[in-house]
Amino acid sequence: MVTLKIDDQETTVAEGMPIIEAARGLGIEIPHFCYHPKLSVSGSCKMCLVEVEGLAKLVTACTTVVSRNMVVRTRSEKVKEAQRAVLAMLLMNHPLDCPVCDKGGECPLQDYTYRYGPGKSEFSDEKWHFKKPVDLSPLIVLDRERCILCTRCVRFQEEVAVHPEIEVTERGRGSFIEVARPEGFTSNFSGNTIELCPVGALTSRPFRFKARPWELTRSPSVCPRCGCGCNIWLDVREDKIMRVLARENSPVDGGWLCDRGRFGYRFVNHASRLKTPLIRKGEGFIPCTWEEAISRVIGGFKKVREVYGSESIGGLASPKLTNEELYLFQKFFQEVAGTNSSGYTLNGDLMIESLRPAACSGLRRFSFQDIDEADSIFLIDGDPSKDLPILDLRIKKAVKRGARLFIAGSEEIELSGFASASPIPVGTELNSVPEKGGKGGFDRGFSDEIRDSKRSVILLGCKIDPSAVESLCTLLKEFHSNREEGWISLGVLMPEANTQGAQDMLLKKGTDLFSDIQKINLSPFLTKCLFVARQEIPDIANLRNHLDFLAVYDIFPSETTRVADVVFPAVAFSELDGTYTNSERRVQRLFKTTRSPGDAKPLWEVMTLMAKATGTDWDFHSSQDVMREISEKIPMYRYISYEGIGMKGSYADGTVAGPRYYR
Amino acid sequence: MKRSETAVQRIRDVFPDAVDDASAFHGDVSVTIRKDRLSGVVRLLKEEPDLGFDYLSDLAGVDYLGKEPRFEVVCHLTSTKDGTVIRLKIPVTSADPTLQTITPEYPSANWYEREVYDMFGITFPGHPDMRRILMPEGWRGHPLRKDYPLGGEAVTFTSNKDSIEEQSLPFILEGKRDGYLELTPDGFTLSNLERLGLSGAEGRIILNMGPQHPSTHGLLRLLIELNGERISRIIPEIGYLHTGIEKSGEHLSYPQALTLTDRADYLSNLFNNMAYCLAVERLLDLEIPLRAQYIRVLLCELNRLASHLLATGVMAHELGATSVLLYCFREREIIMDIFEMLSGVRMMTSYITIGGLRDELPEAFIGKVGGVLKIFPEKIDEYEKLLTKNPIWLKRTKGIGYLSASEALGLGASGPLLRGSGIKRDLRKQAPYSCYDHFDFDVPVGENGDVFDRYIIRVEEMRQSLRIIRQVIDKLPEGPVKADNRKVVLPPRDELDKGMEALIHHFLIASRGFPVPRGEAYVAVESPRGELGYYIISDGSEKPYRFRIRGPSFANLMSIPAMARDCYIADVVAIIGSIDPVLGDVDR
Repeated sequence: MVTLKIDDQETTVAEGMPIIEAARGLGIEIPHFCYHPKLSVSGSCKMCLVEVEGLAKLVTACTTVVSRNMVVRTRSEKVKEAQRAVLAMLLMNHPLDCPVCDKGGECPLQDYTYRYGPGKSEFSDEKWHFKKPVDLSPLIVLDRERCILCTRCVRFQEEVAVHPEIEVTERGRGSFIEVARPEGFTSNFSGNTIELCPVGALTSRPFRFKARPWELTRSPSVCPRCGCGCNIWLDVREDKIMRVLARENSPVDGGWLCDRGRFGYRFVNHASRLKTPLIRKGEGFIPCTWEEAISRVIGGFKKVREVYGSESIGGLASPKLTNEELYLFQKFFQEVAGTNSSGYTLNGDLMIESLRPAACSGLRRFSFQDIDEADSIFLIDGDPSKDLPILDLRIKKAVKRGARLFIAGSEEIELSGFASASPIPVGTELNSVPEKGGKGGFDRGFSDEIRDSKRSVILLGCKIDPSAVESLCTLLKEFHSNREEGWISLGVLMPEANTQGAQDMLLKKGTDLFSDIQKINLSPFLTKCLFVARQEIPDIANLRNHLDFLAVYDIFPSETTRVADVVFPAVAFSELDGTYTNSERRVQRLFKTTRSPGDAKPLWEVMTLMAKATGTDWDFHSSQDVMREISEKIPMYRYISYEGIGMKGSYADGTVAGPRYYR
Repeated sequence: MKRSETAVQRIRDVFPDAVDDASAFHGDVSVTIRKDRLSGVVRLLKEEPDLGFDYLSDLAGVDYLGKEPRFEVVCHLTSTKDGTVIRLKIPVTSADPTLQTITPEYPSANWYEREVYDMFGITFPGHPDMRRILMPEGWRGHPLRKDYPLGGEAVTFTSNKDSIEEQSLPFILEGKRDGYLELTPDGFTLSNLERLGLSGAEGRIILNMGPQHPSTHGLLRLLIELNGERISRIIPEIGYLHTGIEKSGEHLSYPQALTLTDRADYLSNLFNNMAYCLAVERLLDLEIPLRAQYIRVLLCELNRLASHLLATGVMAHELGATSVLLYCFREREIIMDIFEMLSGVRMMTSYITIGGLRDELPEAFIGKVGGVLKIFPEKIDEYEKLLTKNPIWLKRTKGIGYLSASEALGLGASGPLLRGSGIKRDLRKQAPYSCYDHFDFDVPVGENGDVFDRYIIRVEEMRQSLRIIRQVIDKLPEGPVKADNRKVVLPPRDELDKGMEALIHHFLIASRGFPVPRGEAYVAVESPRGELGYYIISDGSEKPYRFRIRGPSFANLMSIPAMARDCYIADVVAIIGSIDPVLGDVDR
């Protein structure tokens, strides 16, 4: 630890910390452009110049590391003069775009110019010109005149995303950013460059010219696109989501957001969203009230049950729903309808297995940060780059750090290029030896590698064969108990936002999570009446012929809604309070931020109304009420409460895992 | 200024434990007093001969939510001998939100303390009339508290009237239509009137004048108890024009809040701008160029002319002399045209801005003002010819609405109302601002304290305004009209095409505003109605923390019961006309 003084305030920090971070710990702002705590240090913009006693020249606070008894001044006359000069020089070639630049109002260049820069211009020559704007990709717009060449975007793409698709080209005053390859700037993480860019050079095309930052109300939420559960900010103006930003929750998302989450919000305000309940009339539908629609559904259910029995009623829920919605869904079907035929879908597959590495009890509780600490990572039949993109960034970072990556899978995936050995095909015995011709040099089996590493993370894709999981888990437990130091951590790559939650909620009453495997039997001969929530069913036309009654709860009209008897309008993720459980079993809160267009209701409310229509009175007036019952009835969630979850989420055992490092 | 420092010393001598803190900031002297010592300190300040703080300028509350003690009641006491102001700050906790009333020493504290109760929930035990003043009776909550939301009440439109739940509204008027009249199945009955001292005894009529009335100069309600034709009691009720200007000001940046000020006392727009800008400029320690200060004086005096023309014309019209109204408005139009030429706006010009003026004067401006100087003197003579010796006018105004000097002072009157009763107090002379001391002018003072004197004072003030304007034009220096500080003042428009720094600063000053250093300032100017003061507290951010407006008409209206003793209803019209109130600064 090192003790030093910054602006007459003493502080003690870890060795190796740059002055700029030590100052931030004291609440002292040192203006900077090219520096970013998660990227390599560039030291090029010179905005962070500070005075260090004993040194004749000013030094950049981002490159200079703290040393014992150092005395730093960030507001001396020399520093102020330098700050003014640096800004004056940056502004010399900066185009007068503020009125039309999206960054205006949240622009570090503007803010630093006001706080540290000159009030009057002394530059009267011609500014350097570029052709502008330039589409770097369908999502990112580049304005080369505004770019101050901080290279944050290039460094991010190179170091964090490991998709070096943009670069600085030319030299000196004429330098500019350009796409580096003919395939284009297609990185799934390109949107992060927008947030990194300190000026309005890189901006979002979907958001272009839509709103000024002060018009927007910022609310927290969780991305609904995959099982990572990255935390986001929703910037809303008058009930419309204008854009999505990353809300740093480092243990989950590292501070980044993938493009699916960042740009995939526009469905929420789409004009063709379902707005009112509909009941079938002939070939089409007529709008009706919720009471009418629900009584129609209950009527349909009752008729089918009379004829075919309870087991003929089926329910199908999507893992896009929140825990509260899923819990009441299964509660309705189990307790009120009296059927075991309810379950959730996994990427459209109707056969559901309880995919819980049941034997993971005994192993270390999986969290994404384990990847940051692991010395070996085993990826079995999954593709994080497609399914959980932010995890892909974590794995790449681990490999850069020196962890070894082993892949078992049939196809080439993006991470194959980072593996330490060739992938073994799925189905191979775990202790078989990989081909020598691959990365070369390994003469041990997959399972040997697991056994011999100290800190291992095993990641399973979700389509894996359950019996294979059984045998793997037995093996892992054996290794884990034999391990003197270190740990084994086992995680599943849940593809949808709440697949894990769906698994946890859709339990049969009284069943312990760890032993039972649920199957719902959608054999066309057994199920005669179906309630589908937020899921499109492939080949529904065929299935429909075997059903007497179909009710659908969804956001958009689809082939499935087209053949339904009753359609309920659903709420989107920003329109309800609720929780999602991500792939590390972290429960995170969604907040009701926008109003649904029309009369949509959350599914937990629909289920409550449906129960009431059958004469069963449930006492749920909010999603928090539902969560209270979940924490009572589902042992794994017994410590979960909305207050405990707060803004950062908490694990099912009630703990909140904060970041393990300051970065 | 020495008087206020002496005062602090004396307080410390007599009440050693009373003073928690004393400070001086840019000439303002503040003392923090323990609340149980307040009466003693106030009496000391008022009655000690060499202290003589005989006038309560303002009494307001501040909510420092998050700090303990949570509230502060701030008193500005003035000595009318030399204009010295001392600021007393009395902390009040949220656990015990009470404070001794100072109405025995300063009767004008009556309405001020009612407003503090209304807006903050601090009660004053011993107060003769502790009830709300601006909000309707039965309102729940205290709007100027920081945890009371801005716009917390949903506004009902056709599109949302079904989704607004009544319970979400933070207030429900407790079943009454208003505090005094309840609708019963048989019609209206009176309640609460005894509490107000309206006896409803045999032979008395209770008459309601206003709030909608052509002669109350705005939305003013007077509850009048008549004994035959004579008034036995008269109670003004205000709050009908309350629009929450002070609370809005806390949510706007400083340049944006400037636009609210025009609308407070809406006939003395530039005076409002001036007082506000002077207060903020004191907090910013900003030096205003001489040319800007002179032009500010010129614009204010033009505004005074316009206001007095309206006051005289309207009062004459209310007493039957409608021609005077039309003549006065004819001349007033010339001034409105000048303002329009200057800024594009006839009244709400916001032309005096933080840092100077909005822009340089147009070329034809001085010529136009010269035209005013040429025409007006004989016009003013014309009005006098119609009124001053007119027997009907004299019958309606002489001896009517008498207000003694001590009553006027005690009830917080200012402007022509105070000077009519013989007290020579004009802030332009006592506490000169914006270079008023560079110009020669007289301040007319009355002898009889009646309606006529106040009318004559206004007429004479018009002549003095012309005198000041002439001097300003003769002495007007060259130079910039805005302070040389790019972090506060918008850059010249032509730089926006060429200078990146200028564009950035314009963007941020216009959108976000500029941060003002922590501190507080009270600056008062002599508006046509009297002492118009702005008390601005800054917390270091871009928005004012407290945006307090000391409106002259608020205190002036308190004198109505004293002036309307035993007179006819018709005299009430004359009295109100002679006060010349503007409900904008009464209710805000």
